[in-house]
Amino acid sequence: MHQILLIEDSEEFQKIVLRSLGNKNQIHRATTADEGFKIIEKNKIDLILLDITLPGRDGYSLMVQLQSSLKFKNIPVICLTGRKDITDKVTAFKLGADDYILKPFDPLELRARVEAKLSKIQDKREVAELISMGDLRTDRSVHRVSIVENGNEKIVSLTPIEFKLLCHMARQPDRPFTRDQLLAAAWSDHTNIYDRTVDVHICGLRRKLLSLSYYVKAVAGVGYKLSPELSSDQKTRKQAA
Amino acid sequence: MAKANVIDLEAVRRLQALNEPGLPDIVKELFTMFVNTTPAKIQKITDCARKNDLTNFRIETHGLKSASAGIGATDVSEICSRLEKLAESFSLPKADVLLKELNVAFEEAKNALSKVA
Repeated sequence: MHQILLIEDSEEFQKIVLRSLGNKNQIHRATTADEGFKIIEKNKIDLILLDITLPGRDGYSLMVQLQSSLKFKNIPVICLTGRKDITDKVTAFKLGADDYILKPFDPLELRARVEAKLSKIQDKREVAELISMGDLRTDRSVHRVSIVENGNEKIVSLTPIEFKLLCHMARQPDRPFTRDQLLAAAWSDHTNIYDRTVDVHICGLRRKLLSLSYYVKAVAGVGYKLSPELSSDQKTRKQAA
Repeated sequence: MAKANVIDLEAVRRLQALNEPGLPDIVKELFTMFVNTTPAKIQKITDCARKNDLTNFRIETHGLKSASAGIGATDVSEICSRLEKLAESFSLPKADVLLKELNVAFEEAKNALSKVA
């Protein structure tokens, strides 16, 4: 289920949009740009349906605000508006709109456009959840790590912390991460966790991944990285294992 | 006899297609809202014109333009569009005639919609 935010001051159009989209998704509602932004801050919004002419500041100003935020700039925005002028359309697209739908719209067309956009979001999400490198497969959606060896897939049992550490490093192979970065990635609240705690979990992860072609390596003075190359020490340990 | 473009029957039909068993009839709901809220909206627009309040005049006319188009009240929406243009050209004193037309168009749309809602 996706979370859609509808920012629309007309009660009539709120009703039409809600009925058009059905109950497949969670729909938040706001009647002003400020109210909408508060909802964006508190929820993980997947798509915004935005009226341009609103009481107080207009929809454009909200788009500017979203574009200036690293956290929110990638939320797709579909403008739902009665403004027919080409200058309005151009402005909306310049400010990052993904689509521009004129009122009154055909409810079935609105549903189709929203579903098409959500489907792309879902595809991107699934791609982001599946990371495959060499013999290593990680699937965040089902919290699973496996190794493919000689065509056979072996599941590796990791603790939740080890899993988070691995996924974080696997997104950027060979990039060294500091212990602080790994702490932030693996612990939602790491205020009372010492950075050396990372070492303990990395140690467990290394032990479990020893048969892999990707390995967790210590980077002197920095922290750790996931690398496709074995160190000589690891080669020895692998042979012994 | 009602004018041909008082309501857009195609828009009404599109809304009717959204009706599902177990849910209230959306055309009836929108019609009730339209009948109950439009007089107050027209009054606000009239007040803004008298006060030469361009900002709120534009917001109110735009709102009624959209809302009436949503239910297929084409004539009301069209008059609001013309009123909105007056605001853009800072000509609110010229709004009187259009405001009278708006009141008439609302009554006509109400009558026409009551037959299909």
